[in-house]
Amino acid sequence: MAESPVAPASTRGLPEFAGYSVEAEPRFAGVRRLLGDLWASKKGTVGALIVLLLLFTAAFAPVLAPVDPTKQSPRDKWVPPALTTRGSWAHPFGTDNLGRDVLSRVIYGARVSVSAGFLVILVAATFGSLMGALAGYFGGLADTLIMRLVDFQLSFPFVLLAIIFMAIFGPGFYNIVIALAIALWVNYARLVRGETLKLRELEFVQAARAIGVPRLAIIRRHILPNVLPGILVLATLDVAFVIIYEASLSFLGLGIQPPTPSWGILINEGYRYLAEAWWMTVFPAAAIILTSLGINLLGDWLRDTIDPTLMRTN
Amino acid sequence: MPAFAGAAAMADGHNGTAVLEVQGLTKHFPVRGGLLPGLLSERRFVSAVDGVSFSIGPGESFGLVGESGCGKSTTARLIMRLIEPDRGSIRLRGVELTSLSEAELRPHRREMQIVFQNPYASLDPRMTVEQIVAEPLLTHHLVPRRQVRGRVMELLHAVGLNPYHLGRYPHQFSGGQRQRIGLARALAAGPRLLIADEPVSALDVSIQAQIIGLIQDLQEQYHLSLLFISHNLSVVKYLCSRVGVMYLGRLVEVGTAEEVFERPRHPYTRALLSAIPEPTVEQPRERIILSGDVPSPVNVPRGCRFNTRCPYAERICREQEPVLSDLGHGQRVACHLVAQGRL
Amino acid sequence: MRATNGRAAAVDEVVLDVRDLRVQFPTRRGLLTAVDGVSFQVRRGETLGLVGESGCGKTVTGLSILRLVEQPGRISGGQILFHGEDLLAKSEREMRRLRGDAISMIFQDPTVTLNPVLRISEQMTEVLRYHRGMRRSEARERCVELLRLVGIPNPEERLDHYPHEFSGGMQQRVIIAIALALEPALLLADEPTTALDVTVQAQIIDLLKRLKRERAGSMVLITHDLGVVAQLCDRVAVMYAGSIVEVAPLREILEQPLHPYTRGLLDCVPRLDTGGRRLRAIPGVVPDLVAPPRGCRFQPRCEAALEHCQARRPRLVEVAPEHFVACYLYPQVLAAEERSDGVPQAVHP
Repeated sequence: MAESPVAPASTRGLPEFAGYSVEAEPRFAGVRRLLGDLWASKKGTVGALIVLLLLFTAAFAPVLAPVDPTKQSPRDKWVPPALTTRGSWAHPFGTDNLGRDVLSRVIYGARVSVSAGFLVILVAATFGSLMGALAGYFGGLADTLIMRLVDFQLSFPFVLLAIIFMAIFGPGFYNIVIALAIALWVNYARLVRGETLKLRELEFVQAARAIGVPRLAIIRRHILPNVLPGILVLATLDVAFVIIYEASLSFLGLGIQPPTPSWGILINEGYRYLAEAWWMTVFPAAAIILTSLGINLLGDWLRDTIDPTLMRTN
Repeated sequence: MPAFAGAAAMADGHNGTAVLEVQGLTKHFPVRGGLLPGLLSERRFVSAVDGVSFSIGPGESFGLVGESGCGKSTTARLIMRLIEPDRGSIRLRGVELTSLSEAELRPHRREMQIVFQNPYASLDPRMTVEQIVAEPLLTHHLVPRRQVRGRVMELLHAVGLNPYHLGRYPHQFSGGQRQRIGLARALAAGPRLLIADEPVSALDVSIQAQIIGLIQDLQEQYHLSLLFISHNLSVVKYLCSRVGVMYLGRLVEVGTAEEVFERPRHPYTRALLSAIPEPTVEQPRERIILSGDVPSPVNVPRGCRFNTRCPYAERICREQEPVLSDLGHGQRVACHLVAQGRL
Repeated sequence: MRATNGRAAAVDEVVLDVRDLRVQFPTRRGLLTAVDGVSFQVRRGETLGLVGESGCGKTVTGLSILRLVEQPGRISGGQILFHGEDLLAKSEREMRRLRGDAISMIFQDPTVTLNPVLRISEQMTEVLRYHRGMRRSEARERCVELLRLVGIPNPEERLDHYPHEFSGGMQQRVIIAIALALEPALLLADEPTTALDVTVQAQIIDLLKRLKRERAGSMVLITHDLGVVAQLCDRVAVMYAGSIVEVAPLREILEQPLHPYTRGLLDCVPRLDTGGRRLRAIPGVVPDLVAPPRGCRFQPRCEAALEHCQARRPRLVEVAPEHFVACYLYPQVLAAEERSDGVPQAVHP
């Protein structure tokens, strides 16, 4: 511990602090405050619970699913779900036209959705934010190039882009991820660019320049951490989009291919048999809706909570 | 006014020992008018800073005063090269800064640091106090890594804060305390020149006094030269030994604090001083109430910029722009009538 | 210009009588008492200064008079008697009739007080048309007069301009004109010159001085700047941490301040004329109004604090003619407390 120098006369401006004591905020106080806020908000809590359920299901799918989702059993074709006449708890969500247990398939479908959602966002947000920060901070040529690229891409309907991509490169999980990431990065670029332009003028960034901090270090240390809240909100809401779009693409046959049980595929397989076996379609659809709802509620709460002005005071 | 570099220093009596010499500093900002005006009429400019020259010696405190829009804050940013000047020379301890690239400039940045007005925007809200104050130390590799924390604690103590608060975030501090943190950060780099841009204007009166006292102490302790920018003349009189008065981008009067405050020569300075309301029952000075408002820096008046509001304006004032002429003892005034000895 | 507002002029001297006002704001950390038992009077024709630093409650007090305190803040106690009637007992509709008419308020930042998308004529005539039912043409004429009164050149032309075509000082003049349009008995001015440049501030102070001479109305000037107070006020009330600590005529506040805070305030402001005087800062920071210190609120920062100061809160007591102070350094304050045995006596500073 450094020896403290003799207190200069300037400390006469403050009450004496006899006996130093460790006074940093207790660990994770910020996180605890956030959780407190969350619990206080109905929509936040509901959203968070749903999202947790989703994550839990995705993580523990093998344990939760009663049966192997790909196991076919022609004998059990079109068993109705539990609670209906002729249904049983052996197949709570019923079976599909190949006798596969719908509940297990829906549970495994969560895995696909969650991984697609997170991967896409990770790639899109990272790349988009970086581009946005560079464009916003450096301005000039970098800004022009990047933003023209963004504008160009935005002039295409997003789904069309994804479809074209899939048509060229073929279906599959990773191709979907890339296609959707390409479609989504531009939103992050624009958001981060706007925030960066604002931040750049703030005194603490000027102070960093005045100290002589190199520009890339300023972006890394000062700009990006401060745009993080905005990114987080956008990302949370985007996850819901990704899940829906992945389902749509898979439904159209452009995405995940069978037998991997994505929710979109389940709907694809089931919609033809709506009359005979409504449960094949309804349960995956309900899963999508519920997930979307949960994520949107959580994202909404997040957006309301995150201090927009950056200048938090006591 | 001779325009070679160093002229300002000579006029101010510094002769080669000046820490900062500013000569002919100029910055015009282009104005983006509405859609049509820009296309059809000529480009318009805000003449924010126009040919400003002065110098500051070692350990000296120089006050730059003026009302809003006079260009004093812009001058500070030009000196720090946070904005690029259009013209002019800035010499820091003899080194010409305007011709340096950013990389070449970096080592010199250590020697001049700035404290800003807004305590709520001048600290990164996502960094701890330790990180904030350590940044200059790390950027310039001033101390070995393991000594950084100790040095930060010393600096916090020097500005009157509890060193054990280094794990806290800015939002846990009051405005006055944040300014102290800003000062600690500025000092960390070990500068010779401290630029303070309205550092107390956003603070309560009783806290202002604390911070003013602190700046004084630090200046003595670290032998700093101080460029103190403010619209509050009383504070400047208290802190500074020399003063420059700015109006619409130009310096209209420069001199020692005593000269400028006791024997102001320029009509604007006199009006400015007389306008200050003192907390006394009898007002000490006759109040000169200026007519009209400060003209827009986009439409700078022809001739002497002050002529539209000056009670003494004559024809020459409307036609010719006066230059800062030396009245001796380092006092310079830009006014035709003063130069002619008639005021 | 006598103040007539279509109501019977009060016979006694007191225009505004604030009694034991208490205003609270619920915050995350608890109930914040911004104004804690504030009492003062404003007499006819006088200008009372309400002085203090940020957070002392002066602005909230001003807003309370017009019942403009925003939710979730609440006026939780006290009375505000205007010409003898309690404003806190009035309905919102009755208050609306008072605002701009019998009592007007002007604020600090002219750029946000005026609506940028409406012409000045619109904004000025609104007051006259709403409260007096004037026709547009009549209102216009009156507005031209008012603009002339506050010193705006070419008023007929400028009436049709937008706010951004006026400078800050001019905008503030317009706002003053609007506030005085109906010759209010009471004008509340919250930091009217703080956002202005020094030379412009001098113009506005000059204008307010002139209007004060010409009007019969009273004014409460809320500010932190003792210099401005010295220009305009007859009496001054000094506030700290939600209560009034000293009230006295201007000369006495400036030359013989009694409360340590008032003294500290005067000592810590640098002045042009007493050069070389060492600035004496008041140590410490303002207290937390959610959990204020026991006893006198200023005591933690007071160099002259006595032991008793930590035990009880001193009340405002008249220790010299017209001079009230809330401080145990003055034996009359302690004596008054002992006499009344803790029962609050009505004080009318």
